[in-house]
Amino acid sequence: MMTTNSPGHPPSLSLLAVHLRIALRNIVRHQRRSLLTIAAVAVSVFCLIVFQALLAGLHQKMVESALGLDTGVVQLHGADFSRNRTRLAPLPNPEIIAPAFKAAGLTRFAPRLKAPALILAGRHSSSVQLSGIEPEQEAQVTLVRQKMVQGNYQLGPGQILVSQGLADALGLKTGDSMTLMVQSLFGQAKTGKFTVAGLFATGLDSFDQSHVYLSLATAQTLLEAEGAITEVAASCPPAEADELATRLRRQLPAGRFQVQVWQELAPDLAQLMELNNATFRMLIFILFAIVAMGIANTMTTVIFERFREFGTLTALGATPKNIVSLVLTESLLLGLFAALAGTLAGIAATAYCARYGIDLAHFTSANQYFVAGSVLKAVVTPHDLILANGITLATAVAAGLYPAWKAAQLNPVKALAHV
Amino acid sequence: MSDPAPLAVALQGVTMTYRTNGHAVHALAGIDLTLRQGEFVCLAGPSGSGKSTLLHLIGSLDQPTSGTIRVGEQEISGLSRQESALFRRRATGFVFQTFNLIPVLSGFENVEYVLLLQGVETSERRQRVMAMLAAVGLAELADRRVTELSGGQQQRVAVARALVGNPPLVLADEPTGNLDSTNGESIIRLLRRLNEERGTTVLYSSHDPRIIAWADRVLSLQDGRITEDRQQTGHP
Ligand SMILES: Nc1ncnc2c1ncn2[C@@H]1O[C@H](COP(=O)(O)OP(=O)(O)O)[C@@H](O)[C@H]1O
Ligand SMILES: [Mg+2]
Repeated sequence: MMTTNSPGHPPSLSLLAVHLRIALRNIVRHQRRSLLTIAAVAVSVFCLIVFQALLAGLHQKMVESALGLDTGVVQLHGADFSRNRTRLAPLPNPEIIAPAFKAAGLTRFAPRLKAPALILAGRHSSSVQLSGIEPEQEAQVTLVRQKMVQGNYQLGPGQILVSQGLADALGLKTGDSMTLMVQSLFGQAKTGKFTVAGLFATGLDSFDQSHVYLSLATAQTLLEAEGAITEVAASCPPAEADELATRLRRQLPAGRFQVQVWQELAPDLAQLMELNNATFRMLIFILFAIVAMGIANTMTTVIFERFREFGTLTALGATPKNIVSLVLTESLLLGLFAALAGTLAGIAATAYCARYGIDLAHFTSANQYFVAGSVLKAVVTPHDLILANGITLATAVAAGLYPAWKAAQLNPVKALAHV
Repeated sequence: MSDPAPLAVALQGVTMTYRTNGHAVHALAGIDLTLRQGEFVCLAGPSGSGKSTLLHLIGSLDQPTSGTIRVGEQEISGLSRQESALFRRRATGFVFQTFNLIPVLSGFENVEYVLLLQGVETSERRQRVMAMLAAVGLAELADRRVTELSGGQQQRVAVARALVGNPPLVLADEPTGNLDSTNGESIIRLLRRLNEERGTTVLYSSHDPRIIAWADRVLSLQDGRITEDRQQTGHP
């Protein structure tokens, strides 16, 4: 008894399997042409994976550097902080803050008391940003401890940390003393005498010239602000900033605090990264437009050589959809081989770059984005690999569409007469 | 003759005009024709007389300029591409002068393709393909790539492919045209045998008298017209 399809029955898996076999054997049969096409596409996949990994590594380094100087990834201020920067404004309810950070899952956070100050040393003076810090907690958020070049980071009472550059400018050495002049919480001018406990050098002169550190308790005494802090900076993976900030907001009474994430705190950095990403996407678009043309060109040659075959299949009862499926299978298969080869090569190259890195020291001195180090390491994520392969396969299918449609629209009689 | 067999093919006023840069070629100039089920019919005529054109129209590979074509119960002039594909899949088998097998597939896979299109289950498919290949005498060579087969063997695969789907109608356009006389003879003998065993209607074209001699009925085609329609008996 004859078993037949009802019209419009979806193509059976066995039919797709045969199309796969036909496509594969044709690819093998035209080895040289296939290898050339696959190689060209694989190189593009390789470039996509490697450049994406380097860009991710670059951004990671930039974020680590720019946010590791002082900003942190998430910051807490009083609600009126943005409007009222010229007055020392302590945070309300300081006792609820540390528990709130912990409950939100932000374990690395550093309370600070910040105020403008004037350094007086002999006949020299300099205006700076004074930060009162808890050294251990601060070291979990910023790089200053890593950037110590002399003396001790652990601040005791009456001790101050200044940068090497500022110390040189003021004619100070470790152990020397100097005077700090501030306006107290109540508006009074106050001075204090401090000994230089240690020197740091971040490599970024503008930062170094303008930042000095006291212990939090010392700063509170100097500013007549017992128990007060003006901000808390926290560190976490930048990608999690939004979620953790939201959780932190939920832990705090509404209306009295302001929680900001790094994109708001360092909009220049966020914009620079977005610009990099946009440029990268544009290059990838151009690269894959060229890839698409390459595959389309190969597939056009393929269908031209096989007009008779498509005419024959049509005569046997293959529908236009069956022909499209056959051609797209071959196009997809080319893309699949290329994606596989490009991904393997890309993983090997990024693994090498992740291990040994690329030293950019020549290009990056005096740049806040490379304070944390100038060795660029590739960062490759499963997400980026899947995306690169997805783009490649989608391009292969898209490039096969027009040749496939052409093959499906062939007049079978003319196709059969084709030599 | 008792009750005549039902109609397999009926053409009425079929014309086909090709227009190539300005001037018209009347490939078929008004064909009226009926074939009955189980007939073994030869289209005879010189090159350019319209044999291929007529076979293509009956197989719904092309659309006539005017006229109507019925195959079995179905009116096929005016079908969409999709509809004519489904019609061919169900109702016709083609054999070409140049074999036209898929070169990267084995004989088995070439024959199997038709049953894949028809959606036949795996086990039934295997069994029917092997039975068909045995019927054309190629069971042993089923797994060879068709490019490794001789011309005669390739045309046997093509005949198996045309018949494996059990179509009521087989159209063969000069099936022996590319074969030497021994192989040509054995192909027409094979078609004749399958026609007799299965009752499949066969319409084939040829201009070789030794091949024409195998038909029960000969339609002579000249300049796109049927000039003679005669029965003949006592094929070799
Ligand atoms: N696609 C076409 N375009 C123009 N003329 C054609 C086309 N196909 C066939 N013809 C013409 O139609 C006539 C019949 O051709 P055909 O059916 O191939 O004859 P046969 O098969 O008997 O040799 C010939 O004159 C041929 O040149
Ligand atoms: Mg012909």
